[in-house]
Amino acid sequence: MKLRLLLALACLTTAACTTAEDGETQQVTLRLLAHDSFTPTDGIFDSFTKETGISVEIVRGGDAGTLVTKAVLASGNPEADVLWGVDNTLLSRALDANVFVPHMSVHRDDLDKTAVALAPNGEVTPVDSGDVCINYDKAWFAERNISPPLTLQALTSSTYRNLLVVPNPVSSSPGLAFLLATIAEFDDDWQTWWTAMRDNDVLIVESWSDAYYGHFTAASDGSRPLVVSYATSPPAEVLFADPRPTDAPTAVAARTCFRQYEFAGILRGTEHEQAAGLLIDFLVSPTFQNDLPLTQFVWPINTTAEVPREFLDYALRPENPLMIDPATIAARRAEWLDQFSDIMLR
Amino acid sequence: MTDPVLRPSLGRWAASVVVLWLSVFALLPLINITAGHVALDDVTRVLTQGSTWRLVWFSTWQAALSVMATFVVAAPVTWLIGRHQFRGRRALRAVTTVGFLLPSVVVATAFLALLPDSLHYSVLAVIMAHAYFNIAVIVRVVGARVELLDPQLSGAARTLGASPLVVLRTVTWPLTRGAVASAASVTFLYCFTSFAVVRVLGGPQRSTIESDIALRAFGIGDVGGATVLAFVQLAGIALVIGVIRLLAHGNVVHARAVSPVLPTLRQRYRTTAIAVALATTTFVAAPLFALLWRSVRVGNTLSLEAWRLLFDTSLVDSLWASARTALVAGALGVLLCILATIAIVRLRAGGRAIDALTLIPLAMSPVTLGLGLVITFDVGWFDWRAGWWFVAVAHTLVAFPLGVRVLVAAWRTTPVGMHHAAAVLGANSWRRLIDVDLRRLRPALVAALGLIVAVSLGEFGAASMLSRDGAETMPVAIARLLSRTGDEVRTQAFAMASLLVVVCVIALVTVEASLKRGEHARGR
Amino acid sequence: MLEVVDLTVKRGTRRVLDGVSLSVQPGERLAVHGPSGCGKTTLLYAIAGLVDIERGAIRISDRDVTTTPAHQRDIGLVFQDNQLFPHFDVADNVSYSLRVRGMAKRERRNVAEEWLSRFGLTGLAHRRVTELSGGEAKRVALARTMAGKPRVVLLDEPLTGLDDHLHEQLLADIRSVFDRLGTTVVHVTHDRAEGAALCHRSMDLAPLG
Repeated sequence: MKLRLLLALACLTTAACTTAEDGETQQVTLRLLAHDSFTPTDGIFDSFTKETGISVEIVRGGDAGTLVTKAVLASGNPEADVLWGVDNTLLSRALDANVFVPHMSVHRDDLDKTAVALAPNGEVTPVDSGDVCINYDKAWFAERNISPPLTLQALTSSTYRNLLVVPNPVSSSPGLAFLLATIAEFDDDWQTWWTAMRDNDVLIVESWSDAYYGHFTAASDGSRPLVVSYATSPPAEVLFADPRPTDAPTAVAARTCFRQYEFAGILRGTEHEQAAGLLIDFLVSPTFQNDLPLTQFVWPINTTAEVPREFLDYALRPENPLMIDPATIAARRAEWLDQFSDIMLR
Repeated sequence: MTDPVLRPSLGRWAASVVVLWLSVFALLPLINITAGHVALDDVTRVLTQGSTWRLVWFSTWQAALSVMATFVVAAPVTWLIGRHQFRGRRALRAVTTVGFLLPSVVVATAFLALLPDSLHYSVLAVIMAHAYFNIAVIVRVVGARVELLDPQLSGAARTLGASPLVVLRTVTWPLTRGAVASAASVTFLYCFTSFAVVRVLGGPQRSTIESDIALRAFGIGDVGGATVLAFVQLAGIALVIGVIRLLAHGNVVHARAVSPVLPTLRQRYRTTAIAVALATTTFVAAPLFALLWRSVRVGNTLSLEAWRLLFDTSLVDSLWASARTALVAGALGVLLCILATIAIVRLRAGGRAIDALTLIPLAMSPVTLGLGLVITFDVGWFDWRAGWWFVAVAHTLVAFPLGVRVLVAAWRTTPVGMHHAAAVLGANSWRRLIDVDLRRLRPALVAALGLIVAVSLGEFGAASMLSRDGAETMPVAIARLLSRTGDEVRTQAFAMASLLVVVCVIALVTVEASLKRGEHARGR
Repeated sequence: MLEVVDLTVKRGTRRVLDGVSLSVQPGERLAVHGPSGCGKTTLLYAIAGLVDIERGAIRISDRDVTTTPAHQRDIGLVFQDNQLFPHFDVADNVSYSLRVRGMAKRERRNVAEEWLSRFGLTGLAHRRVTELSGGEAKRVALARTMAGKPRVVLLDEPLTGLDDHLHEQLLADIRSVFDRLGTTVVHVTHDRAEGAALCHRSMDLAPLG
């Protein structure tokens, strides 16, 4: 009874809202739902608002996994107009639930082709990319005259026993990316590799920050000089340090990298589809893309964007990163995580 | 025999408001998510999985051990605070509350910084952190009851030949076991549903039901399975709380009407008292100093840069976001507490039902509750999903059960005679409620308010689950800063965490101070 | 039997008792008078071992009990506000000291019945103590103290607040029990007539400062 009353009231009010909206051409405010790591420069949307008359309100809703789960639950009745931050490991989950309205961006031809191909119908538009790789503490290896590992296979050698810390793939997005890297590298033999790593005393911790700031020798009092992190962690080490060192204290093993793309999309059910399309276009325009490297430590997806010098100096862009098709990831992720847990966590 | 002065009509009215609030904001979301996203297949799948029962088993035994550890840590200081008057008593009580107020992510991180490597990712670390959080529950709930025991009652037992141990067994325990059971239940609940502490300190190998719910819902996208697990958790909690209540059953005797003045600390307990106070303070302060230390250490150098950056950027917004959320949650929460308490003390069977009902939000998985709220309040005027005050509504659910426990304990000390006196003097039932119950219970009300505000200030789970426009609350901001790249950013997180401690302590001191004024006003 | 020498008690920095001495012979009943606030209750608590003393000595049958814990002094105290255990019924209250000494439950109930009848409380054994009248509660408190057969009984304003009729009756009952058992008593009261009616001898406790 109570439920029905609530629903009746709700219908009434929605109807009222819709007519009010149609009656006047008021200024549109778009809600941009983003994960907690979305940290553009303050005021970046001012030029967009000036040009189009559309204001942007940023709504934050947890990490990427939380966002996608909530978007799927609210499919067709979204709490915002545009979603920022679905990555290729989560993409299929969102696409299967029909969360987005397709949109072909005016900048589409300037965007990274591989990324665009992951959503060929334009349900989502790629916005940035990054790589998850083995990072190492340069000083640690130099002091001991050991050469850092260059490949995943090398890590199973007893030279690197007790040295690697990995965030849990079940709870951490870079952890999952790294698991996918090993699956891309070893195919059906990936479990053998992890078993060997377990015998080589790899440490699994809960989150990326636990790994990096709890155990990595270059960033904590920890004892592990090898960590799974981003290819853009070395420039962050430089740019966020005070005073700035001339050389990054850490480096990346280029052949261990898994590429992550992030996407933005118009949420199906929005009342401002057209305005939302304009916002997507802005997000992949050079104006916005130029801002990404130094505020969020990711690479722009727009090939015409200018990457700042200091970022280029320290960041590595692997040429042939490991990748797996999002549909395959979606189909097998639960199974893979289960198998991983069986080997490493039980 | 019904007392015409304490007619239950007011109680019934209060009960219906509480039931309505819980139905709309707790039950409806739960029903919605179950009806919409759980298939029969999910139920059989989850219940037949071996891993489910491993989760149940781990959640249970670590929580049981945590409760025991909490009592071990909290018993000495509860004895000290509850039985004795001494200088610095209020300060010591405030100190014991600090742990409870801190966001669990922050405490877990602080413990990680504090403990030697060999204890990282161990059950011992988890249990220590749980004890850290819950000292306050024991001190507040059991301490409040112990305080009301007339010290001369044990004096009477002593003159009749009972040794201190025998007094404890035959007098103190029977009169406090209700409070002990209540504190144990609440502590068990918190530890059983522990999330951040288990994930950060327990390591990936250990998972409670609650942390697995989050992994399923967000890591894998299995909302159905997560919801089934939420019910498993609810059932487990109901079972354990039932058992605890059964064990504590017996004639639970209510406190005397007038709380006696506590005796001053006796000379020969001085050394013990100082040792207890020092040990407790050290245990509480050590992780906080670890935080402070890390807020001024960037890499290997000392610097106040993080503090400067914090004041330059988002801090004020976050402070304001936290403050307004906490204030709204506090106001709504106290109102609910008062209503629930009226229902509990005025109604017989109904009162017991409300008493049990108010525990449910504590037992509900915040993840499931958050998801339920998101899919329930999503239409037209009821689309509250991104409203900042919706977080406050969620906080009332998380916090008011605690406030209710505080109020009920104090409320029961009002002698019926006082109501009769007011009635004879011409006060109607509303006036009596205000003049006799509420005015007299001002200290308890302030304490409940302080608790709710504090819980809201430190709450992370629901706040991170619900979206928000504008600034995020401090715990959410801290967690976000912690997960980002760059030493400077992380140092800011520790600075903000230190600041949150300061804000919580200020809130706490304000509460304690107003309690003191209240007591002076009553001629103590 | 009981000897108190130069007893001084401080509360904080304030003296509540200053150099009080008294002595009571076996079977003797001593009334202690004095205005309110002169430390009468504190004197009893000090003798019973419920407050720390600053200076002085307490001896019972020539044994120094100054540092003996309260439960080993063998001194009974009837509190002004009774301090009955709210979680026990009347019989369990009365037999508490026997329970502490390990007497079996059945035997204990019998002894309790005996004491209840001596104080005119027959039939109240299973009553909850919260349901007693003022006079009944005082009788239960007296019976509870006497059941343990202490060597000295301390009474703190035992008859205050009872109406005249009850007052007379209870006074007579107490006196007859004490006479029969030859109990040694220290009786604190502000009422000189009451002291004179129950006790053999009286002393005054001077107010401090």
